[in-house]
Amino acid sequence: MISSRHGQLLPGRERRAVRAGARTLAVSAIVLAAAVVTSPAYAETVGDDKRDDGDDPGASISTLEVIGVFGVIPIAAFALIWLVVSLPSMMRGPRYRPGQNWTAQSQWIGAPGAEVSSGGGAYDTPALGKGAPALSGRVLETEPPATPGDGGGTSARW
Amino acid sequence: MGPVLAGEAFSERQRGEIIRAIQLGQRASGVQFSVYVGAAEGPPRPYAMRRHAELGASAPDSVLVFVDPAARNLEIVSGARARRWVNDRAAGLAAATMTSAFAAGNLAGGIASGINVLAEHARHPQSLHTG
Repeated sequence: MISSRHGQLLPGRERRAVRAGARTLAVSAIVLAAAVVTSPAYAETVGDDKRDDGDDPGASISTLEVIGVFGVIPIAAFALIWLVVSLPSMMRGPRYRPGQNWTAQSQWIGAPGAEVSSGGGAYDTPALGKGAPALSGRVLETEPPATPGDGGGTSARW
Repeated sequence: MGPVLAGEAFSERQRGEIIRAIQLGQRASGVQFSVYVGAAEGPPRPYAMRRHAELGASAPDSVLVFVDPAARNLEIVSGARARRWVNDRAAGLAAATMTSAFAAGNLAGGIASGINVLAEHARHPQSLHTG
């Protein structure tokens, strides 16, 4: 402001000096004002025996307690969270993932001697029942006799 | 959890899902379904056919779904009479259904829905000529 008002009257060197002085004055005024405003906050902190109301440090805790509070409790909390997260999948048992090793026992559902019962139905005829002899009687007329090696199917990979 | 799958291949619930699919398929189509999940010894196709033959008297009416998760191999073996209802095209369709589920990691669900597809194709009018 000063330099702009006297820009035409003062030479360059003097104008710069005036500007620097004004800046120094402003900065020190701000610092001083801040110190004055905040000074009550520092008034009570000088000396160990001066404390605020209700500021009770209490008895100091032992090393064991420190380890317990800052070591054991957080680790226990981590362990608990991990358990809660992974317990459902552990209960669910093994889960297949493609490309993963498969070491589970082989299973045959509907194996010979332990067929899955169909629970009765329209097709539960003697000819189709378990352990029944090859088709006989009238049923033979409608279905060709089964010859071994006449089966079909398909192969696939994933 | 880990990479090692020891013990049972399926949980009780998954096993129940497969058994239910077998029962429903059997009831709906008259074809007996059998599911083998495990490793093949030697070439998979002959091994699966040997397993199918082990079904004995019910083998001609049976369809064996042979799943080898370690080798990522699937074999569907249909007996001579079962093939009338489960033709090879239906088996191929069921195989596609199963392998797409297997590739997503859904072994039990893939087997169950594959059996559903097979049973759906094997559904046929009953002609017993008993009258």
